[in-house]
This record gives sequence, C-alpha cells and structure tokens, in this order.
Amino acid sequence: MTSTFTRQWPRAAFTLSLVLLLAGPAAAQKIRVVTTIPDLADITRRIGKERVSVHSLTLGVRDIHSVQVKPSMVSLLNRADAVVLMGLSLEHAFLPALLDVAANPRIARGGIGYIDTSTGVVPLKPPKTLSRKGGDIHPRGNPHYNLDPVLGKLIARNIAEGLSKAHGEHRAFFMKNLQAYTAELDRRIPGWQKAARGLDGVRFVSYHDDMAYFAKRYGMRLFGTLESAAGIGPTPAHIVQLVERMKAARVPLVVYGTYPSRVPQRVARETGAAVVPVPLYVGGRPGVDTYVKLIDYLVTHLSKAVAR
Amino acid sequence: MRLVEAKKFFLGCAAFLLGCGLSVPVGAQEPVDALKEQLRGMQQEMGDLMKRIEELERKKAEADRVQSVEQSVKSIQESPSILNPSIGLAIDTTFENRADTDGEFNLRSVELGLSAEIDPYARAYTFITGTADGVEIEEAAVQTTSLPVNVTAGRFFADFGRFAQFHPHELPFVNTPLSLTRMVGGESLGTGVQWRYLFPTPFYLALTGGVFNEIGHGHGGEGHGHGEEGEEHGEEGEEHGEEGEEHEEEGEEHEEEGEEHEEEGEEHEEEGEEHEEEGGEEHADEGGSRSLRDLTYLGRLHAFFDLSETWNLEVGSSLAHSPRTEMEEDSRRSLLGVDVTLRHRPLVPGFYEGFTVAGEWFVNRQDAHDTGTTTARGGYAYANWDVNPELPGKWSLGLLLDSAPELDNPDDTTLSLSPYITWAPSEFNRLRLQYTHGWDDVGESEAHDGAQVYLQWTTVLGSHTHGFRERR
Repeated sequence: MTSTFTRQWPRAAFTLSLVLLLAGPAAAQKIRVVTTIPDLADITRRIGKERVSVHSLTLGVRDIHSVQVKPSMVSLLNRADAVVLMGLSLEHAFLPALLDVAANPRIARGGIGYIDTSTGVVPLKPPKTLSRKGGDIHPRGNPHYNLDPVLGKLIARNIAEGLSKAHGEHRAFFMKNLQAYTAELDRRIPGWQKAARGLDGVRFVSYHDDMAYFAKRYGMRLFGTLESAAGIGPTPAHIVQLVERMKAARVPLVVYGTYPSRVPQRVARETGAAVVPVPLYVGGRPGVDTYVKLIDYLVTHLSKAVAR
Repeated sequence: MRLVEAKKFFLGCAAFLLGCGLSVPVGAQEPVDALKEQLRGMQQEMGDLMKRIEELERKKAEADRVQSVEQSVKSIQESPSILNPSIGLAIDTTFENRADTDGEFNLRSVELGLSAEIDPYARAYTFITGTADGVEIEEAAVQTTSLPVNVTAGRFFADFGRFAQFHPHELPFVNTPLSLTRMVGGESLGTGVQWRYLFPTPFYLALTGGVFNEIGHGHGGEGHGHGEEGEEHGEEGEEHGEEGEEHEEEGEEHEEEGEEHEEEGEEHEEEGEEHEEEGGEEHADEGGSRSLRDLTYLGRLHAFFDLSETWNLEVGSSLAHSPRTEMEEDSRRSLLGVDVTLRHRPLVPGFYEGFTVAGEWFVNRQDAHDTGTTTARGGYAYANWDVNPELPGKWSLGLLLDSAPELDNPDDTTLSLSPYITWAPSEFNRLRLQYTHGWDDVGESEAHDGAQVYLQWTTVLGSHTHGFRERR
C-alpha cells in the first residue's frame, strides 16, 4: 500500500500542479492593464469595469518627469495585457527603459496592447527649436492634456478603442461604457464651463507649464513659470525678474503642482498673489480619487482663489 | 413610330388620371394636398440629409488623412532612430589632488553610445569608450525583447551585484569603490551570454544565469589573477605620477629627455607585451583551446519590495565561479556578492527629497596550486541624501565607506571615507566635489593613502540612456 502511494504521488502532484497552473489563469480572466498615471487608470476602470484589473505606475503626488524606476514596475509590465500611456514623451524618463526589459511583446511600442491616448490630440506649444537650450523639452509639444475635460473624452475613446483592438470580444461592452462615461463628462462640462467663468482672462504663474490645456479650455493666460526653462528649477535671477514683472502686471494667481511649495509661497507673498497647490493628476490632493473629481477640484479651487 | 405610340399611351394615361383627379369630390382634395406637401418636405429633408452625409464623409476623409499624417509624424518624432540608432555622448572629466600629485586634470572618459531596436524581437546597443589609454568597444550586445526570458549576448556588463554594472560616470560618487575594483575588476564586463527569468511572483524576483569568458578584468580563465589586476591599477597610478614628474623634469633639463624616451620605449615594450597577451587571449577565444572549465559561470537572484508608497528595499546575491582561473590545473575562484539598497522618497517634497542607503559585500575565495586557499572579504556602503536648498538644479549629499582587501594577502586592506556633494543643473549636466581620506596597508599606489580631492564634471549630449540597469 505504501509502495503504491510512493509510486503514485509524483503523478498526483504533477496532475495537481497542472490543474492549478491551468486553473490560475482561467480564474483570473481579467484583462491586466498598466497605466502610467492614475488619471488613465481611473478612466480605464470606467471603460473596462469588472473585466479589467488596472495598476498605475505612478502616484498622483509624484512629479512625472522624475519617476523612480523600480523593478516592481517591470513585474507589472511583464504580465500586462495592455499599457496605457499619455504619450507626447511625457513618460520618456521611465517607460522606454522599463519596456526594454519587460520582455512583453504585447505592450512593446507598436504592439497590440500599446495604447497611446494622445492620438488625435493637437499638442499645444510645440517647441520652436529642438535644442536642450530650452531645457528638458518635449519635442511634440506640451504633454499635459489630461487637464482638459474635453480631451478627457478623447482619452476615454482611445482607451476603449485600444482595449477593443486587442480584446474584440469585449468591444460592445467597452463601447457601451465609453458612451456612458462620455455622456457623464458631457453633462458635467457645461457646468464646469459655467463655474469657471471667473477664470476667463485671468493671468497666472505656474511652477511648470503643466496647466496649459486647462488654461486654454477656461480662458486663463499663462504669465510665466517659476522654472527658468522646462525642467530647470527656479534661479534667483529669474525669480527676481518674474516678481518684478508680476507686480507691474498685477498677476493675481500662482499655482504649483507636484513641486516644493517654498518658492511659489515666497513669490505669492512678495507679489500679493493668491497661491494654490493644484493636483495635476488623480490622487494629487486628498479626496481627488477620480478624473471627474480632479477637474471639479481645479475648477472650484481656482475659481475660489481668483474670486478672493 | 413606336416612340410616338408610347407617348400617346402615356398622354392617355395622364389624361385619365387627371380626369380621375378632377372627378374626385372637392372634400377629398385637402388630404392629397397635405400628402403632396408632406412628400415635398420629406424630399427636402432627404436632400438635406444627403448633403450632411456628404459633408460628414468629406470631413471623415479629411480627418483620416490628418490622422494618418499625424501618426507618421508622431512615429518619426518619437522614434527618429527608426533607421538610425539613438546616439549619445557622455564626457567625464576631473580635476584631482591626490597624495601623489598636487593637481591634475583628467579626461577620464568619452563614451559614445548607440542603441536601436533590430526588429520586433531584439535590440542592440554599444558603448565605445575613449580614455587616456585609448579607445575600446566597452560594450556591444544584443538583447531579446520578446522572449519570456531576457537573453543578452555579446560583450556587456554581466548582472553581477549593483554598481559593477554601472559605467563609472553614472555612479553616485566620483570613483569606483576600490573594493569593487579589486574584487570584481571595477566593472562586471564580460564576453558571453546571459539570461534572466522573471518569476511570476507578486513582488519582483529575478534569476539570472550566464556564461562568460571572464567577468570583470580578471575573473576568469585567462591567467590574470586579481592580485595582478590590482597591481596593474597601481602601476597606472604610478605611471601618472611618473608622467607628472617627467613633465617637471622636461622644463628643467633637456638632457633627461633621452632617459625619458628610453623609459617611454620601455613602456611601449611593456604595452607590446600586453598586446601580445591580449592577442594570445583572443587567439584562445577563436581557436577553441578554451575548455568549459576555463569559463566563468554567473548566477544572481535579485528581489525588490515596495515596503510602502515611500520606502522600498532591493536585495541581491550574486555568484561568479571560475573552475580554473589560470592555465593550470587545480586553481579555481569563486566570488560571492551580496547587495542591499534601501530607498525613501517622501510623498510631499520639501528640503528633504529622498534618501538612499546601500552597500555591497564581497567574499572572494581562490584556490591556487602553489599558494593554497585565500579568502578575502571587502565591500562598501554609502548613504545619499537628495535635498532641495531652494537653489537651481538638483542637489545631493553623500558619504561613502570602502574597505578593499588585497586579494592575495587579505590582511592588508585599504580603507577610505569619502564625503561628497553633487549638483546637477539639469539632467544632462553634473558637477561633483568629493574628498577622500584613505588608510592604506597595501602600498599599491600612493594615491590610495591620505587626503584626496576630486572635482568631477560630467555632461551628456544627445540621447543617453543606460536604461533600467543603471537606475539609482
């Protein structure tokens, strides 16, 4: 009896392992999506609902331009069915290096699971010359289009199309959810437009030029940046000059996103402008846990600051 | 004739219908008019719809055209290297004040990097490095991108430890720690093949295996022991010192030039010998005289844990084993390395922006026929603080501790302590000031003892990505 068991147990163990191996993927039928920023993760969840599992590589409080490359990101990308990114070289500091070692052809550039949501976006402020004299430039133009809710609809469409391409069997489901999400944004956009009327024509200073699309949507005008050039921190001479110009022009607003608060606070103090820490991504401030809440927060807090 | 008959027939029908129409009672005329009106309205509406469809089709065609152009422009802009590789150049220069020299400018390296995707399955890269000693192809490798296992082949930095895989200008301090130089040979450079498997675990866990002719400048079967490697470095330092002295002498007495030439001649002879040795090694490579025992075998287990949103821990253990280090029987060498890195990055940046504490510890065991078994232990540890003192650029402060034994005589050690400060005005431009104080028992080079000051300036032109391997 013992000898029979001894003979049989390797076979039983092998069978059990095989069953577990096959049952594992079968139980986890969800489409594994990795996004670069939390905004894309939120929108992907709205499109894919229970049929996707979504991870964002970065947190909303982090500066996307200096993301720490972590091996755990490689593990996520290695198993992903799709990667959703902003494109326009926003993620150039970390994503290409990760994709090189992820060993996952599905999500390699040009792969079926490589979803670039900038398709159809007309980039603002493309650089006049492609030289690093302009700092750490984005060759195709400003990549922070996530802050325009109208382009939010385009992001959602690109995600739905991208997921449908790789997973055609879910196309109707994704498109139905897209329709519902687009309808929700369509309902809210006029309200935001109305609430942001006070922002029309307001000049402001931003730490980095990351509010360009939001500003364009609501008529705000960028007066200058605290950075002396894209990706190059504030220099004393630049700040002195900027403060003088702000005083002369009576610029009422300073905003900063994922950057240290001391310089913006000081500039605001010296010029009498209101200073607002703004979330640039979902999760950028407490309670801002969806894309809709992100736009809500920006419209509400900036309008309040300007009204004061 | 038939046409005339047909016309007559249709005219007759029309007259009949008209008659019928006229014979309709007056009360029934209104619905007909309403129907006619409705028909006209529908026709008008249909015409408008057709116009709209045509307009939409025109717009769609235009949008498709724009999207197609946009896509092709995007592809070119995002990947200008589709036909040409990405090109980058890193220049690393220093001013050094050491025990053996009052002051010396060094062009430490100029590194030309090229990389591109070969096809959907692989990418290739090369780094051609020029130093005061000449130009060499430091790395030239092909790496698979679509296999479940990452395979790299060619000449490249083997996956041994952490900083042995860094080009020196990418290190967080000025010099490669001496422990790394003596134990591994500075960089884990090797010609061979390596594969890395990523386990499907909830955390990052990777296993690397590899086979190389040798790893680093000495871990292998080509007859160069580590002691000899260390001596070579020492000699380099001494040679620099001699050069300085020679230049002084040039200014004073021309007669000594002849001696210098003689010395140079000797140096050239030595170089010639070195080349002969290298040629011999190459011949060994090509001629197939190397047996499997003369190769170096690599294994590495590497894990990473996100402890929280702000803390992470990286640990690795590497083993390089050479069954025969020299062209004689009964000589073998094993090098074990353990590396640990703990990082913290606060969620809200202020003056304090992050902290890294890391270290590597090596145990080298070599069994030689004539000297018996020798075990040497050494390593380094460093701490690095990223700070934002409201000044332009990125700033960091650090402290490096290094303990480097002599491999053949492990009781003799070189200890050093190096505080340093780094300022990077941009991602592509960096200055670093480092003070090093050494306590040297080995006597390999005067430069290892006493106070040393380094000022390093590193710049990068064009595209420069060492990628995942050299992450901080």
